[in-house]
Amino acid sequence: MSEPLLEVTGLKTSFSTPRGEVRSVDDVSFTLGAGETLGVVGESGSGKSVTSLSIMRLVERGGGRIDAGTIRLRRGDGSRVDLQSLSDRRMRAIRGNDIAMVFQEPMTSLDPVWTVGDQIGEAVRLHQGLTRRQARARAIEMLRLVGIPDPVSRADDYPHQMSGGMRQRVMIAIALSCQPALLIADEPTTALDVTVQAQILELIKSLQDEIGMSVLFITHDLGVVAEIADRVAVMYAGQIVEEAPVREIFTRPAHPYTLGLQQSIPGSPASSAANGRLKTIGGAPPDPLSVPAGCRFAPRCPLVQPACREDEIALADVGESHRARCIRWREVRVR
Amino acid sequence: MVRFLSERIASAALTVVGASLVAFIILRAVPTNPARLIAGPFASDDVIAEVERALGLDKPIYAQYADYLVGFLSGDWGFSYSTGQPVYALIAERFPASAELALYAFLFAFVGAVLMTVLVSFTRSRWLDRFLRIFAFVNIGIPPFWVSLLFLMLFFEQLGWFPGPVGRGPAPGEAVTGYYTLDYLLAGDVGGFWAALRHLALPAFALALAPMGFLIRLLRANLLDVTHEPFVTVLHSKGVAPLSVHFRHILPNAFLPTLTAGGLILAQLLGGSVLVERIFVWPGVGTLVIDGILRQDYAVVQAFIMLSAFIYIGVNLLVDIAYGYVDPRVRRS
Repeated sequence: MSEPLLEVTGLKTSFSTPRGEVRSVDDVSFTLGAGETLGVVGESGSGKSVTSLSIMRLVERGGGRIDAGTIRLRRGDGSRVDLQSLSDRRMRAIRGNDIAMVFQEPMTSLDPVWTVGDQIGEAVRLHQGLTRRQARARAIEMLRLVGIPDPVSRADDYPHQMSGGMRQRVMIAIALSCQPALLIADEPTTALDVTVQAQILELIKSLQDEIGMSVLFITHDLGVVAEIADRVAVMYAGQIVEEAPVREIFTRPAHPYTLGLQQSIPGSPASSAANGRLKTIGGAPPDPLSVPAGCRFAPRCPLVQPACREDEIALADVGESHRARCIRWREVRVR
Repeated sequence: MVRFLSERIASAALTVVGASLVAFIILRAVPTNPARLIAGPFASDDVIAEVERALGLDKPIYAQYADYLVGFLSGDWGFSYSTGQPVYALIAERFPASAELALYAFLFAFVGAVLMTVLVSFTRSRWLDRFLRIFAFVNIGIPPFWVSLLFLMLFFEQLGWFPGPVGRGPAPGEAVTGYYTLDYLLAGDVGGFWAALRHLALPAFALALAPMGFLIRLLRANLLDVTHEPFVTVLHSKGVAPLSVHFRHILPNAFLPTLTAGGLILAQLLGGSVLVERIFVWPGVGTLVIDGILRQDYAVVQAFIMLSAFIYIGVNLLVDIAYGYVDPRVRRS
C-alpha cells in the first residue's frame, strides 16, 4: 500500500473532571489510506468522538488535553505534517480544508442567524480566497451536489427553514466545499430518520467516489459500518480492541467484545448462529475514573481467565491486517 | 419584512390605546374631584358645576375619554393648576434635560457593558471574568443616589475634575433641540459642548452603573450559553478564526436578550430619575412629576404617565424592528 493519508500513533487524550483526570483515549493507533473508509465503532464513552476531535485539535475547547501521540497527515502537495506540532494558525488552515468534519446533530450544527449559503461559502472564502460572489456560486453548486432541490433559492434559506435531513445535507456541503482529503463523519446519521439515514449514507458514499477522499466514519451502529466501511476499528473504554477489514470483522471476529456486539444485533449472522436468540453483553463499561488493570473488558468477558487481569494486553497481529487486543483470540468463535 | 413591520406597528398602536385607557381609568377612579380641588375648599356647588363643565367632566365617560385622547394627540395636555401653566409647555421645557441625561447614561451603560463583556469573554481569561462578575454585582447593588453623593465627594470636592451639583451648566445661546451638547455642536462651540459634557458626566455615570451591571450579567450568561452550542464547534472545525467566530457568530446569537433589556432600560431612563435629578439639581421631568404628585396636580401626572407609555412603546417598537435585522427567525415567524 502507498503511504497512508493519516497516521495516528499512540494517541492519548484526557479530560479534567471534578472527580479527577479521565483518560478518554488511551494509546490509539491506526492508519488511513487515500480513498479508504475506516469505520470506528464503539458505545458511548468509548473514546471514538474524542479520537476524532483530537485529530482536529478541538479537544481543548471542551476542557480536554492531548497528552501524547503523533497525528501525521499527508497534505495535497505530498508533504507530511504532524498536526500536534502545528501553530494554531497553520492548524486552522488544515481544518475545513484538508480535513473536514460532519457532526451528529444537524439541528444544532448550523448558526441560526446566517443563511446556509453564507455558511457554505464561509469556508471556501477562508481557505480558497474566493470573493463573495464566487463563494455563493460554489455554495449553490455544493447544494446541488448534495441533492437539495432548487439550490439557487435554498441558498438564501436560514437553517430553521430546513428539515433535519436537509440540514445534514447542508453540513455535508459545508464539509466538502473545499474538497478535503479526509472527511471525519461523527455519527452523521444517528439523529436522523431511518429512511433519511440511508439517503445520507448513500450520499457520502457517492461523493467519496466522486472526490476521492478518505472517510473516518464514527458510529455506534455495526449495520452502518457494514454498509460503508472498508476497514473497522472497534473501540472499548478508550482503546482499540480490534481492527480488521470489514468482512473479517463479521466473519472472523477476534475479540469477545466484537462478537458480543454482533450477537446483540437482530438478524446478524452471529445472532442467528446463536439459535435466533439475542445475546447481550452483561454488565456495563468500566468507570473511566477507575479502569480495571489488565484487559478492560475482562469483567464482562465470557472467556476471561486469571492472566487477563494481570498485565495490559497488547494489540497484536492475529491475521493479515487484522489486530486484536485479546490473549484468547483463537477461541473467539461465531457460534 | 413589510408585513413584519406593519404587524409590529399595529400592535404598538393597540398598546398605546390600552395604556391611555389605563391612565384614564386610574385617574377617574381616584376619589378626589378635580373640580373641587381647582375651585378650592370654599367654593359653592354652582361654581364647582361650572368648573366641571369647563373641564368636560359632566359629559358621559366615553366622551371624556375621546376628548382626552384627542387632546393628548394634539398637544393639549391640560393645565397644571398649581403653576397655572399648560402641562405641555411644562414638560416640553423639562423633557430634553431628562432625555439628554438618559441618553448619555444609556450610552455609558449599553456600550460599556457590551464592550467589556464581549472583550472579556473573548479573552477567555478566568481572572478578568471574575473581576467583571464582581464589578457587575457591585454595580447592581449600589443605589444611584448614594453613588451620586460619592461621585460628588470624590470628583468634585476632592479632585475638582467635574462641576458640582449645579444642573446642566450654562445654556447655549440658541436652543434648537433643547439638548445642550447637540445645540453647542450645531453652533460649532466646542468649549460649550465640552462644558455641557462635563456637567452630564457624573449624573449620567451614576445612573448608568446599575443598568450596566445588569446588562453585563445578562450578556455574559448568554455569550457563555452560545459558546457551548454545537455550531460553534462546527465553525472551529471549518477553520474559522476565533475572532470571527466570536464577533460574527457567537455575538449575534447572544445579543437579542441584551437588546430587549437595553430597550427597557432606555425607556425607563427617559422617564427621568427623581433622586439623581434632585442631587444634581437637574431641571428634568423627574422633579416635575414628584411635585405634581405631592400637589395632586393631576394633569401633570396624567400627561407624564401617557408620555412614559409612549416612550416605552416607541422604544420597544424600535427594539422589535432591530430584532428582525439581527435574527432571521423573528423576521420570518
